[in-house]
Amino acid sequence: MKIRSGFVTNSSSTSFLIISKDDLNKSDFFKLMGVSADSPIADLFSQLYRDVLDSSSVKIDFRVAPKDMPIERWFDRHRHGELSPRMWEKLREARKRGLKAYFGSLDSETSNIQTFFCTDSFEIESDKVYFNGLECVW
Amino acid sequence: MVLFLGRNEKQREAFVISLRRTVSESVALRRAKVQRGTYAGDLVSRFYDSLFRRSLELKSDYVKYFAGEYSTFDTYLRRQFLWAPEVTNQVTAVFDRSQAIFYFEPTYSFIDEEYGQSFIERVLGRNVTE
Repeated sequence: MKIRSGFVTNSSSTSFLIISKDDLNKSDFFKLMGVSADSPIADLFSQLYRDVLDSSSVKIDFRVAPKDMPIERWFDRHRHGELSPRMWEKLREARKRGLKAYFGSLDSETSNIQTFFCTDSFEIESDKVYFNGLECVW
Repeated sequence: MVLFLGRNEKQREAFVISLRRTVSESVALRRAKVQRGTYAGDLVSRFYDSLFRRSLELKSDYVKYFAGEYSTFDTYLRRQFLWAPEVTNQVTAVFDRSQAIFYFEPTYSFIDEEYGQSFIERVLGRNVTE
């Protein structure tokens, strides 16, 4: 028999969408987040950067993607519900502008750092990168 | 000193953080090398707020409200918080060298026993009492 003290919560995942002019790189990502590469807490954001790259299950380069292919076709049917209206809007905009898109989900059952970002809700944009982490489902 | 206390009666993880000098929010942001108004800046600002504005500062709490009741800071810690002597001894030892001693319950889930201590030390830097 196991006894668990404290709060018990469900595990969860959070969909994210990143739109980028070029291939997503650490320098642009850090600039977007507002942290210097030599920050004493840079490791927190390095971890998030690695997590979003590793967790991006759909990557689209709209410069070379077939123009007549509906955006929805890039995603399995069961995935459609994971994308918010705002995400579809940003994807349509990305196609018009020939940008790159990364879609995936963060999981609360991994590291404490990923769990934190999985429970935070945010939408941020720089001149090169857009990051939609609004779909927090906790 | 950043001392991890474990989980308290509310099942929240808690720390005692003693500082030689308190710092302003601007200094904390500068030290963390994050830009105000960005995601990272907001993250550090919220951490700053939870520590410096919403945590109980034990030293001033004792001096202002409990010095008449408890003759020593150590007694105050033992009676008010029911902390064990091995904890109160460590906290009492930094009393004279610290401008402030906070009882801190982190609001960020990643500020835990493993990563949290080093995160706090890195953001507050040399201001942490040794």
